[in-house]
Amino acid sequence: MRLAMVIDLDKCTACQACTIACCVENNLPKGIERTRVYPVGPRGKYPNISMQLIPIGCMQCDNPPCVKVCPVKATYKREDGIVVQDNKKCMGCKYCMTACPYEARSFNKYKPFTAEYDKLPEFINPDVDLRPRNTIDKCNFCQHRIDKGIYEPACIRACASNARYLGDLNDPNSEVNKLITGKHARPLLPEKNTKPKVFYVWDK
Amino acid sequence: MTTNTQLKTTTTVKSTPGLGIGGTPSLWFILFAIMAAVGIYAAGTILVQGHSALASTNAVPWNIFVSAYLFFVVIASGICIVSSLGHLLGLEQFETIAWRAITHTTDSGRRERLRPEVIGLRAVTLSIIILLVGMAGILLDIGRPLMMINMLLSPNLTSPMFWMGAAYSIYVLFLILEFFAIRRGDHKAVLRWATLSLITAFFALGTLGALFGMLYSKPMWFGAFTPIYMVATAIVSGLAVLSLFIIMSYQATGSKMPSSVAHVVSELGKVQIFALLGLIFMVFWRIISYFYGSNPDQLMMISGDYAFSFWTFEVIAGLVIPLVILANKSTRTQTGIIVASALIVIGMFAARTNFVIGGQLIRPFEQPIAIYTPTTLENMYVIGLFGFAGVLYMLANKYLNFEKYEQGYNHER
Amino acid sequence: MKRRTFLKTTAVAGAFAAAGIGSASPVLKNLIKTEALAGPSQTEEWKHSFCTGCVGWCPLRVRVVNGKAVRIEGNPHSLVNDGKACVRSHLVLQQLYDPDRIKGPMKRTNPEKGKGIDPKFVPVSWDEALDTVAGKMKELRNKEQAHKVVLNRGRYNTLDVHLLYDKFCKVYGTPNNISHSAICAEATKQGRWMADGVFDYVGCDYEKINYIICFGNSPLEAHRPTTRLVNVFGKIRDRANRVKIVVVDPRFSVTAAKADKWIPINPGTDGALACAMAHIILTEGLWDKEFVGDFNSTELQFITGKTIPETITDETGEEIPAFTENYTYGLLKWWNTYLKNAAPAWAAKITGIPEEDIYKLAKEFAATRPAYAWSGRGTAMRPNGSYCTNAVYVLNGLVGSIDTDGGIIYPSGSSYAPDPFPEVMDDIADKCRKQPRIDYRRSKQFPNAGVVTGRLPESILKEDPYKVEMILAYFNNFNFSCPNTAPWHEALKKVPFIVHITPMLTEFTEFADIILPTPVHLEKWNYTHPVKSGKYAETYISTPVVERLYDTKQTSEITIELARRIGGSVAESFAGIQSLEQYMKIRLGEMQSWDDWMKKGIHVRAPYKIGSVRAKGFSTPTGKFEFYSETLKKLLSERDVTEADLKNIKIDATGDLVYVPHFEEPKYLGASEKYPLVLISYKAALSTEGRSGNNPWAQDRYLVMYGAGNTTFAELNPETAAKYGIRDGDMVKVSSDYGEVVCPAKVFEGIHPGIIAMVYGQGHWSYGRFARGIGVNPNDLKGTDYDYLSGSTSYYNTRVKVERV
Repeated sequence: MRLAMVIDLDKCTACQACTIACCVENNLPKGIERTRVYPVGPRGKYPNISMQLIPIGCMQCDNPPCVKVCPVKATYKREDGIVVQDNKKCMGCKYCMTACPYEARSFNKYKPFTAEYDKLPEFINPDVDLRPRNTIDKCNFCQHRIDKGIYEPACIRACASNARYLGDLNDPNSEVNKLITGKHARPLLPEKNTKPKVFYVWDK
Repeated sequence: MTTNTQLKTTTTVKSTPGLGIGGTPSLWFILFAIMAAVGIYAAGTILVQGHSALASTNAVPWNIFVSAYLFFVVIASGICIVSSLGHLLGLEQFETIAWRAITHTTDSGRRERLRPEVIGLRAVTLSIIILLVGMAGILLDIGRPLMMINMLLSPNLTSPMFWMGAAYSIYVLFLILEFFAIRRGDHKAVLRWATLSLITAFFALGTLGALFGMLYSKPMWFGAFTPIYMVATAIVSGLAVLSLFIIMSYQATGSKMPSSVAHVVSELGKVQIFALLGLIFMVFWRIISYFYGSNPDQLMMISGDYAFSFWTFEVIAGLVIPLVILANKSTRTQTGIIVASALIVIGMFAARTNFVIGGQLIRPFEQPIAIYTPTTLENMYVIGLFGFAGVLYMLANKYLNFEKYEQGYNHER
Repeated sequence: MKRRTFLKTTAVAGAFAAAGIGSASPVLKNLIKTEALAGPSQTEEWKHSFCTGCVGWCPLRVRVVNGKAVRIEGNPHSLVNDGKACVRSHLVLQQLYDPDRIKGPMKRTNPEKGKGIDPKFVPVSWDEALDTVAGKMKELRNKEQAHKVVLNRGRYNTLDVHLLYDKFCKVYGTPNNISHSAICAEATKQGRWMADGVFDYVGCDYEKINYIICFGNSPLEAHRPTTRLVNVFGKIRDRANRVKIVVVDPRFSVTAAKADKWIPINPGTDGALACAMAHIILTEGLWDKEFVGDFNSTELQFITGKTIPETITDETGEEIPAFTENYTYGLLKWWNTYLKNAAPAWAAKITGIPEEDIYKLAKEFAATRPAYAWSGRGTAMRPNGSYCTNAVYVLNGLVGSIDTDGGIIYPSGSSYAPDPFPEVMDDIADKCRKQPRIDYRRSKQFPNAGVVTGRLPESILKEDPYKVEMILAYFNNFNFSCPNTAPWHEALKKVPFIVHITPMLTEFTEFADIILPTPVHLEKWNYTHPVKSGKYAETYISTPVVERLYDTKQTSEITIELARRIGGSVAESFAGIQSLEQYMKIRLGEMQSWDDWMKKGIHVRAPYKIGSVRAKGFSTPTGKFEFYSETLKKLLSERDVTEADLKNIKIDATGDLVYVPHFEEPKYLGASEKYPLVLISYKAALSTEGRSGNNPWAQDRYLVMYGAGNTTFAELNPETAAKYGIRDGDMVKVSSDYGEVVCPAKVFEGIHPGIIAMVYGQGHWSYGRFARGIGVNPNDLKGTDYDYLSGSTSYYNTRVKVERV
């Protein structure tokens, strides 16, 4: 299985529910975002302008530069293609962050939630560990859910316009493959040769 | 001033080389000590507060500690290369830096520890000190330094950082062995460890270049040019720092510079001309490629946010003016060499910042260039690193009696 | 959920996942994907509540692990929302567990009131707090001054409306229940009402729409109900015949970025554009013949500038109407009175939109049916916003998008069982209720206003018509959310006794004498129904998802307590209510069984049958969709409004023009020489009606267009910025006749050169730690003005100037 995601930008409303639902599900403290909406543009001059608002997170590259450069194998690609982060090993050198062309990785500068709250907030999801301070955070397609057989990361569950899809790239009938062929979904920065597994449907 | 030193009589030999004239700490030592104290304060604060005290962000994960690290360890490698090159390439004048004096002592058949050994010990010690200071710099940029143990337990052989860590660990080991060999006056061991440390220095510089050069996410860093550039800058900055420290040490302590050393220093200046020309060649074509490429990161250097630092410090102060000073015989005095070397060091520090920080500022997806301004604590720690280097060096200068090793075989004690 | 059940569901989910991902319909997927991720030592439940982020009140299911709410999802049974919940729903967690919530009742010890003056609140017992409030209310009531108690309401829910806003006010005897509605979007209701007689938000069969024009609104950011609009956007963009969306707005909003075309327009001139479009639709013969009707002679057509006779003679010499209308009324009157001259060339000058663009827009709109002309606060919340909205709304009539597939529809609401406990009115209540209302709703000044929230400061300060002795307010923050905050502060300072029922210490609370803290939605018993927006009428229930964190009481509980303590007829009216749960069982019991309520958290009514209003007639005096508003005519005559009165309420039109959709010159506050720019404020998707200030999740990414948070920008067109020597990021001072603020400038191509855009929601000087001192409040700059017909507060007609500091 090679899990991949398709984000249909024509359906996406840039509401940032994915970002916030991810924060909720994965106990992300202030300053950490596993997926965030990038404003790209505006292109053109008033009044003829256009702009893209693109949710970007880890691309779960098949050829992940972060995995190559991590000196301690704290990040690796699973059999199902998800690039995960093992913060028991991580030494916080941030090399993976500089290696990632997608800015997909965040650094836990603070002890989780201490930057904003006096004590640990009560909405902590017990299914997901808090990341130790000074380690790296990244999207893992909600691996804790996938491991329980729920192939629906929090961002997809929260996406009110159903603009995100998860599926198996190896299955020619999967929804993601249909969108890749039918709606010409394609990855970002393919020229970096990281073989990203998050694909985008561009509008119009 | 050159003549002045050369004309110095043996009366000055009495004064102890070290922290100051007549036992009182010199101004330099006080300055370095204050800087070190500032650094220790900053380090303590950063260790207590953690990385939240740093200005690094998710867009700019590496801060000036990394550029300082790069600055220091490249100098350390450079010093080693410079002090060894002469011997390996059979350059007569350069040999004095390391080997000839030793040869004399061993030829005499005695293990004479205090026999002259022109600047070899100084170079090795300096290299060790600067390397350690550089590592102290990077240590505070590592989130969980204790977890560096995983480099041994769970090494990733595809990671340039792993190889760099390995290379510099071995390198510092060889340097220490070389250090003791020189102290022992064991020529064979010196030769063995020096050769090995020279090879490791090149390898380490290569891995250091690869650390940046293998990241295709960062266009300014990526490419085979980066390791080569590291070697070129290592030679230039190694030459500059070595000359600077030798001359300044003698001037600060007021002790007489032996003519052999003075000669070596002058020769270093000459070699620097060629080293600089080599580096200028590289930088020149890099600049030309920037004009052709006109990518956002390249424009940032030649005309954008980093243009001032790039042109003023990295190019003009760091390369052009030193070349002019050194190429002109009338200005290639000891003072001239000091000025040129100091400018090179300043330029190199700017170059490292431009390279490490500037290289990260370019963001994907047409995002505006990232912003990184070091916090006061970060600046304080970098100042502290210079302080550490200064204090350690001056202590070493005092207790290791470099000058005794440098009296030269053409001078009696 | 029992552990066994959820183990089973996990197995099902697993099997489902193995069978193939994403092949089921979204609803089925949602039902099956009941997760059980908690470990064995944990208790995990999913409980029902609803959001209060907008009038959508989206039904939520909340994942509760070990007694803590940890995740929010949409209720899968909701057909309005397709089982989803928008971004704001997630913020509920940070609202529930907000460290700055008020933890118990408090009273003021510093008698001096004002902005920035520490009220020196000290904790008191509930008994003391309630006795104080009830004592005061009783005292006023005994003096027959019940009407001098003003009730203020912010974001509400039906339970509180039933018990406090309606029942309590009535039996207590105050006519002054002043809601926030007039700062919401009443003028959009008014504009619609003038055409089809329905004073409500527009429901629409969005799923089948093929063409949308958004006039001054950004449905993906700030419209209602957000979840449904976002959800349906995904659906209609994904269709084979992908919907086309055009946004007409002086600001390049998120919706504009996501739309197919953005047409910047001079602020306040949407009415001219709409009229020109109507003109084109008629002259090009593109109107919907089935809905509107047709000429009775092939020789007749709409020609620019030419009057059409109302009647013609047919071959037999008999006089027949020139145009027979089917479901509409007054088309020829409209054409002859106004529309014949509303040519695109005329509109181009007013709107700043090139003539050919107007042509293209009108033709596309009329040709790509079903098409929907959608207006929002931008068109409405300004003087004569009603006319502006009306002009846009009738375009839907022209192209037949009324009560048809893919058009505007007329769904019914929820049917609650009647309150079995009668309202007992004593003499005092009867007497005081007859006193004039302080907001002058339904007067000559505000002929059709349901409420005039913005009038409060003036009424209080001028003691017009009488002195306000007490304000009892809940879940509102008027001196932050209403334009012209300075007089609000003054007015609140003047009121001798203010009670605020609130979960957070807001700017309004700073003026309170007693604070009665409420739980937030996830801790409440509650019920409500969403704004009408589609075929389905749903009713939602909230159960206490978690135990109350603090010593709080629900608004309705406070109401009952106060009633009991006031005694007499007031207490009698509430005597039957033992608990909110019991009351809810009574009011909701007729819809479905209590078990079903507990199981599903929602009741969905059979869908609206499209076409039934066409069949039975519109609720206008003519029974038709009115291009000539007999509805308004009737109202104005009832209110005895003369043409001179119209002048007073800033309506330029005279004669028949008053009753047809037309363009009214925008009226500004501040001279254009001194203040060259128009301030346009807007709401971000995350502003959650201004309540997300203390939620870091929202604050950190408040301005998605700029990838920024924790700030307010003065957003300027590059041309404008250059004119005033302002660069991106410079600190600038924006000032008007009413105030000034200093904030960073944002130079952005997507801003009309004549405006300065600022987001609403920041600039708190009270509230919590994440909100206080962040950004600025554009309402500080605005003056007080109205769309007088509906009593709506004007938000977009203040002129400002900007300078670098």
